[in-house]
Amino acid sequence: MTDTAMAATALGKRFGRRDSWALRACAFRLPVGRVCAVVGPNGAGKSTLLALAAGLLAPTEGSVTVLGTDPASARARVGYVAQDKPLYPQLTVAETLLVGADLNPARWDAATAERIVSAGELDPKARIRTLSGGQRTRVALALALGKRPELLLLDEPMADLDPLARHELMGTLMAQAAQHGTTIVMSSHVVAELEDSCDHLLLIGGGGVRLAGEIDELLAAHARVSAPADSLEAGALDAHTVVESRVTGRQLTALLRPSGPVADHWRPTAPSLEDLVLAYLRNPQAAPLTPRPPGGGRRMNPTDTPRPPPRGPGCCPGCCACTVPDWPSGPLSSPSSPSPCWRCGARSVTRRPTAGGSTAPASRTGRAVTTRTRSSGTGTCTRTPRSP
Amino acid sequence: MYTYTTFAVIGLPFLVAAWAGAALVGREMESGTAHLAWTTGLSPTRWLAAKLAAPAALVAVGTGLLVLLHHLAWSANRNRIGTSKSWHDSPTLHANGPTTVALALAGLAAGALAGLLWRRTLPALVAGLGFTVVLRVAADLAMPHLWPTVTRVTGLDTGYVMEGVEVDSGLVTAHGAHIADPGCGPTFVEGCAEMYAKLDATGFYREYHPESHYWPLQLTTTALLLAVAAGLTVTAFALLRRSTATTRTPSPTPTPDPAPTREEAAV
Repeated sequence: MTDTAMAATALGKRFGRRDSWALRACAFRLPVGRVCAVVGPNGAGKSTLLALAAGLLAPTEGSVTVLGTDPASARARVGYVAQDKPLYPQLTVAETLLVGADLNPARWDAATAERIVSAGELDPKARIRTLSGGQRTRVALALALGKRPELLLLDEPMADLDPLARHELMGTLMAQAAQHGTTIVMSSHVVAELEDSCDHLLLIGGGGVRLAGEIDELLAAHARVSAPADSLEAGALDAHTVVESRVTGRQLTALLRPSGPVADHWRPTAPSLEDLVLAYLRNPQAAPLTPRPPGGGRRMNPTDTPRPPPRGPGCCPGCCACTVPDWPSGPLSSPSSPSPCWRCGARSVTRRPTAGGSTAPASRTGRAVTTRTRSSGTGTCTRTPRSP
Repeated sequence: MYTYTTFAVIGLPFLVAAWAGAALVGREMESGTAHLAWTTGLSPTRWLAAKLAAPAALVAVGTGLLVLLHHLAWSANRNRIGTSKSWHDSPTLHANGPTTVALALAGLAAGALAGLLWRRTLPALVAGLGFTVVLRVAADLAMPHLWPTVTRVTGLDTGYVMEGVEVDSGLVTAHGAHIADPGCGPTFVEGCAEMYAKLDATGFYREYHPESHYWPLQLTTTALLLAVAAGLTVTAFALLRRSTATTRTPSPTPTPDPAPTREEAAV
């Protein structure tokens, strides 16, 4: 049993002989049990990535592993719903589910599939061709979830659902993830849609991975600063990785990846997920931020040195950012600089440390798997060791 | 009526090819239901095998029966009606024998391959159909050359022996060489005897297949078409395996150094 749901190494896919790469040099790793948002502009390669993971396409270069094996061997354990929700139009809803049961005799969960379909008040005898787009989505999701997948790949699953159905199906998905530990990977270009339900982000842009990691950690690794332009001495921002900076009138606002403490008079605030995503999408030249790929693959930022491990309990207990020693966001300026949790003040208010706040060392002992409670919506970042 | 049934039988492989290209594979690739099948529990190779096996059996048995019926109908009125077709009349020759069955199977494979290549209904239909037409023409052209011919030499006064599938014909000279026939006719036609004397011709020769070659010709052509069908099927499977993820033996991954393992657990 592996703790990696999906990982890519130097993954590339080219369509046709011409030099049109849909994906190039993609490297990331998604741990088991996450709900991961794959975000990116149209044509960024989101669907290609999901199809590669589902084993529908063969990579042109590099490799993708799914549930610890290659996508072809993992097919039985992976659920996939394509963007256009293909179904056999001549079958009825009930027959479609029967096909799913027939093809997955060992794993089929008829109760779950039927519950999803009946929640949409679909007539089981209705032919697929008579259904609306949203109703087809429901049947396609029922078919994918009925497989009891360990990894669920959803390509723009909510695009043609009404808000009510969207909410209801998202709830079903989250319940599935919580109950069975299913890893869910869903793509979308609507960031707001994913912010509440996802805890992991994969930002694809220009055919490559721009951002990858836990959303909380990604947010904690960035700061939005805002200061009068003339109050900044020249090159003051250069100490940090500047993702985006804009001068509006006399005000300078910037999104930084700080590599050390940020001066108070810059008024650092936590960026929202949408801020972060948009800043990276608007600035394709910004250095990507991805954790080290598994298996010693190449790092996106080879000059980085590992950060020193986080400090003791004084360091904002429960803050996700503090438990990750390997953010390739640049070395600390000196060993005497404050703890890497310089920014936790803003967000740690909303976080609830568990187990006496001492989970940070425990989570690095090697075996404890960390999870996040999803029930209470945003802002929670509790880490609970889960027995394997 | 006979002609209609003959053309229905020899047209069958083209229908099979068009159907296989368009409905069987092309449409599924276009609408994405193939992808649905591949992610619902059928691996791509099993999916294609299932797609091809039942139609192949059906096509083989169905075309085989029709060909058999056609053969019965043809032999029933043979030599009784003056207008009945000879055994070597091209449509009758194919409609009577297993070449049509083999061509139908090749058409099925060609349609499937076209569907996988073009991934859309209409182009797959056209490509599958076009390839089968090319195959049929090629088989027609190749057929007489797949078995050694019989050469009959006849006298200049009788003309050519008229039977079977002709491969070559002309004049035989006194030295035994084969030369082209100026097209004059037997010697009783006025002026021809003088011309043949000038050419030093002693008789007519004709290389042809007599009726006893019926089965060798049918079987060699059938084998050729079946080989093409097998080649197309193998190509289709190889294409499918190449374009989708296939089970591979895990390559030895370098052992990561201890540090990242610890970090991964913490992420």
